This record gives sequence, structure tokens and C-alpha cells, in this order.
Amino acid sequence: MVVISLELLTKAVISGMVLGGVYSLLAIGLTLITGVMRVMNFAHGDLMMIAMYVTFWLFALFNINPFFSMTLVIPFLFLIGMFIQKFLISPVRTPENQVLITFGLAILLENLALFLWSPDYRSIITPYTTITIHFSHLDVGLIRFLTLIVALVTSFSLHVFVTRTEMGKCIWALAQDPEAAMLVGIDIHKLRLITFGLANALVALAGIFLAQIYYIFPSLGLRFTIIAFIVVILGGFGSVGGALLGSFIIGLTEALGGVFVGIGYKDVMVFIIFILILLFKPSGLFGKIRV
Amino acid sequence: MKSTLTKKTLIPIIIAVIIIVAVGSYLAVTPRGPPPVKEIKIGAVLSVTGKGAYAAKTLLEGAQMAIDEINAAGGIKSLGGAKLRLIIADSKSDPKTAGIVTEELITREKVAIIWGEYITGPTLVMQDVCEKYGVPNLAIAGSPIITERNLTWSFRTHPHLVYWHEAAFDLFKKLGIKTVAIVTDDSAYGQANRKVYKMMCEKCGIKIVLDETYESGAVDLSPLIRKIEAAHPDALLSAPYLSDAILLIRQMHELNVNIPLIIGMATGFCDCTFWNKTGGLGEYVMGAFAYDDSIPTPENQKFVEAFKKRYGHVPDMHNEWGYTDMYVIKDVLERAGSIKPDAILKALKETDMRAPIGRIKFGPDGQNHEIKGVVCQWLNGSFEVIWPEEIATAKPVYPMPTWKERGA
Repeated sequence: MVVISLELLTKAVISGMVLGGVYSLLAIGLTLITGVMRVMNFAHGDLMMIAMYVTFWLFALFNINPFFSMTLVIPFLFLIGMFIQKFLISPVRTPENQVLITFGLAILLENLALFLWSPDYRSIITPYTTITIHFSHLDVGLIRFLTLIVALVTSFSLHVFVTRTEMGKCIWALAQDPEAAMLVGIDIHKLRLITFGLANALVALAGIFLAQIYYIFPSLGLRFTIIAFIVVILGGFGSVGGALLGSFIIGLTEALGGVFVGIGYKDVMVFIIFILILLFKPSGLFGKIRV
Repeated sequence: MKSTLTKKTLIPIIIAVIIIVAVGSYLAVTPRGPPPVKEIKIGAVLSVTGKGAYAAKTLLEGAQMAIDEINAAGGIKSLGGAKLRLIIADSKSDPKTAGIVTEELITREKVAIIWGEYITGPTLVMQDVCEKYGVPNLAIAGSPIITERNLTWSFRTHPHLVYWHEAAFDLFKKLGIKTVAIVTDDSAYGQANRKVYKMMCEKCGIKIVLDETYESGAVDLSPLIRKIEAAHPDALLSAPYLSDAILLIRQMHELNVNIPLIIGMATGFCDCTFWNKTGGLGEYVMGAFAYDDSIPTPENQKFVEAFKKRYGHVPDMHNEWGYTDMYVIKDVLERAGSIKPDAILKALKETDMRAPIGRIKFGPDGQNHEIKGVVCQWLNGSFEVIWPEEIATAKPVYPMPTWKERGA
């Protein structure tokens, strides 16, 4: 029998925090798109899959370390994001059709990856992917720990960007009321391009880290899109802080539930918490916009 | 009434005369008896696409190599040197489609024998259709149920799941394993293995300290790994697909969790890319399955050499399976001397031949009971046979050194 001990509890909490870090990196990009642009982007996870494959091929073919290839992958995904906004999202006016467009894009990307790179599982192995950090008797993988740090730093910087800078304030204005933003002279088309690009750059960052701790295959997108949506709805659309908190709630529920109730029930518990929060706070934890 | 031969009545008469003359002369010229068989069609029902499409390619590599060899050596001699031809039908990993394509192979292509399906669900339907039409078939799927259904026309050349487990538990007995954690995924394959693990533990008096089912494709297995650690088993019994196998081992290393023995049934741990994809962390992990290229039979050595020459790498279990099954079909047709279902069935029942994997001889249930499972262990990046002892190429390393001892 599994004995519940303080040690096991601490280990589970650490696992949950680290998993939360991975999820939050994925979710903050989506919260920008859904909150600011009111677009339900169902291709979010698939765009991350593309970022993971680009990272993988740069590593496998040219031996470029993921931490260096970051400087290529992030701008590349930024451009793809701008392209999607300009040629796919923007010409389509109604939200329903935008959902269909992103859903179609998700299917296209998945099958393109299947066709180009086969359904094989790939993984990136670098000398440091197997390094483990020991804090007394607690162990955390180096990359997972770094992911947590990067997620916290990124969320904080994004928060500062939105609340303190001129452009950030414009983005926030766009989120609150697009028409009013246009009236005070904000170029909302340009701003939407940049927001979608930025959200894609963030998902690229998530992909670069995930590529080193997970494995890469064409149909991984949907799973992560769903996780990101749960987190974003939980935290409230457009709220960076909410996305961060939502990620840790989901991460901790999975880890603690997995250890103390049964790993097969972890999704059940995640969704119970999800439904409870929506029942009592329909706009999400920090959300100002109702779902 | 005037009776004249108009054009309208003349044309059918002329056609009728031509047909009568043609058929008559054909019957007069050709000798009596059925026309000779030039080509024998073998219907292959395989999941070429769909979510289970991982082994069709390797099975076909082996099968095609055998067919090319057989045809180059003069085909089936008792049938006047008839050549073998494989007709491939895609079941799309779906039972319903498997039924439809099997029926098409039988009614439209008129195949002499059906070979195939390595996924349990589609296999069962394929067998049912063959049973309905009375067509002999060789099945591939590894679940025990395939040959436990009292079917007349179905046979399987390779040992199934239970044989792999038996080999593994023989090894456990020798190593003195007392407690185990059973950790399987939520797929049909995972659950089939879980059932057999539990049955074998009960039979061998081994205590199960943890029995967990996890979701295949999970992002994080650390809660599971923490539970395994807390249960302190002597061995971790599993059957992960390659994706979960990679994540499991990588995370066990990250979390510094040491279990003396880790074993899986075919799939992930036995995949030839497993060791590389874990960056060597897969060292000392064990896997039980039906075949390994190091089996020291003369038939196998010959096969491995020829296979390496043709494809540039050593054959895996599915490569060998495809190859062996085609030679069994050749042997059966040679002895049957006919492509009539009854003659083939009789010859199948009398089969007793040597293949790379060992002796092929079917029991009354259609299962080949002559071959036992093989247990291998990753040692220095190569998958070495450690059990049964007669064919072992290395000694088992137990307990596995801890991550600290390995300096990894």
C-alpha cells in the first residue's frame, strides 16, 4: 500500500508546481489571443507542435542547441502569427467562422506534419537534458525547473508590458473596447497583428522547453490546445495573472490527485474543479469578460 | 407470313454460331482437368493506415522478402511452379473495415489463404469472415483470445502474450522477485497485459503492491512515478507504447527513482529506437516478446544475414513474423498440392517445419505451442537475450544499478 507521508506530499507539490510552469507558458499566449482579440484559436497547440518540430530539426540537422535556436524559432513563429492574423483571421468577420478557420488550420497543420515528418516519435537529447537538481532529498529535472523559472519571468514581463508600456496599454484598450480604442486613434489592425504574433512567440517559447522534456509527434496539438483552454477559461480571458494561477491549480490538482486518489482519476478532478469555478465565478478567477 | 432473314435476326445468329464454334474448339483442344494454377494470391489484411499503423510496414518487409525468395526459387513446385502474390488490403485499424476488406479479398480476388491483422479488434472480425466463407487464415495479433475461440480455419505461428509473460515470470522466479507494481496504460493492449500480469502473479505467489492504470500520452508521469517509489516494489511490470516508455524512463531518472527491475511486453521497451530516444537512460530495462535476431538457430542466422543484406538493418519481431508466415504458407501449399480450402486446411493441420523463430507445429486450437517467449535486456545499447538460458547471449543484470551508481 502507498503510505501517505509528508515526504510524498512535498514531492507531489513540487511535481505539480513544475507541471503548472509548463502549462502556464502555453496558456499565456492563448489568453492574449482570446482576451484581447476575442478569437478562439484552436490551432494553438498545433502551432506549438510546429515550433517543437522546427526546434527538433534545427537540432537534429544542424546541431543547434535549443537555447540558441530560440533566437530563430521565436521570430519565425512571430511571423507565422502575423501571417495567420492578416490572411486568415482578419478577412473573416464573424467569430463563428473564425473558430472554424482556426479548427481547419489545426487539422491542416497536423496532417502536414504527418505527411512531411511521419508519425514517428522524436526526442531531443542534449548533454544537459538528463541533469537533475537535488535539493536535499527532492529531485527536479533541470529543464523542468528552468521551464518554471522562465514561465514566472515571462508572465511577470508580460504583465509589466501590458500595464506599463504605451503599446501594452493600447493592447489592453483593444481588449476592453475595440471601437473606443479605434476612436482615440489606436491603429487596431496593426495592434492585432502584433498581438497574434506575440501570442505565437510565447507558444514557441513553450514549445522549445516542452520539446526537451516531452516527445514530439504530429498529433500532440489538440491535447495541449485543450489544456490551454481549460487554464485560460479558469483564469479569465485576457488575464495573465489568471492564466498563471490557473496553470498552477491544474498542475497541482493533477499531481496531488494522481498521487493520492489514482492517476486514472486525475482528469476527473481537474474537470470537477473547472466546473466548480465556472459555477461560482463564471468569468474565471481574474476575468472581467463573461464566458 | 413472309419469313426473311433481316439484318436484325441475322446478327444474333452469327454471334451464336461464332460462340459455339469458339467454345467447342476450346473444349476440343484443351486437355481435361482444371486449368493449371499460374499464380496463387495471398490476401493480407493489415492496418496500413489508422492509429495502429506501426507494424504493417515491417511485417510487409519480411513477407515480401520471403515471397521474392520463394518465387525466385521456382515457386510452388507441386502446383507446377506457381508464383505467390500478396494482395494487400488496408483495415485502417478498424474492425468494421477489416470485415469488409476480408470479404472483398475472398469474393473478388479469390485469394487462397488470408494472412494478417496484428491488432486484436480487427483480427477477430477477419477471423469471423474467414470462418463464414471457409477460408484458411494465419493471424498475427498477440492476444491469447485469437486462438481460444474454437475456430476451424484460423491458425497462429507465433507465441502469444501469455507465453511472453510465462518467460518473464520464469526469470522472476530465478531472480527471487517477491513484490511487483503493475502499471499499464488505458489502451486495450495495456489492459490485456494487466489481466495476464495479475493472473501470473496469483499463479506464482507474487505480491502486487501497486496496480495503476495511467492515461496513454500523459504530459507528466511524475505522480505515477512517486506512487511506484512509495510502494517499493522489487519489479515494475508494464507494457508502455514507445511514447510513454520514453517519458517514463526519462522522468524516473529526473526524479531519481530506482526500481531493481523494469520490464515491458513487446511495444515500447522492445522498440529498436528506445535506447537512443532515451539518450541511453533505457540501459538495463527489460522487455519480453516473441523473437530476437540473436536466436541461434541455423534458419535464423541465415535469415538475419539475408535480411541485413536486403534492408541494411537487423530484423525485428514483425520482420521475422512476416517472413516466417510466408514460408509456412509456401510449405502448406507445397504439401496440399491444390488451392482448394479443404486441402490447405488439411496441410495446415499437418504442418511441422523449422522457421527462424523455431519449430512450427499447430495444436488442435490452431496455436503453435512449440515456441516460448524471450526476455531481453538493454545492455551497452544492445538488446541482449537473457532468458531462456539455453539461448541467452548475456547474463541478466539484477538489481539494476541506481542512477547515482551509473553516474547518469
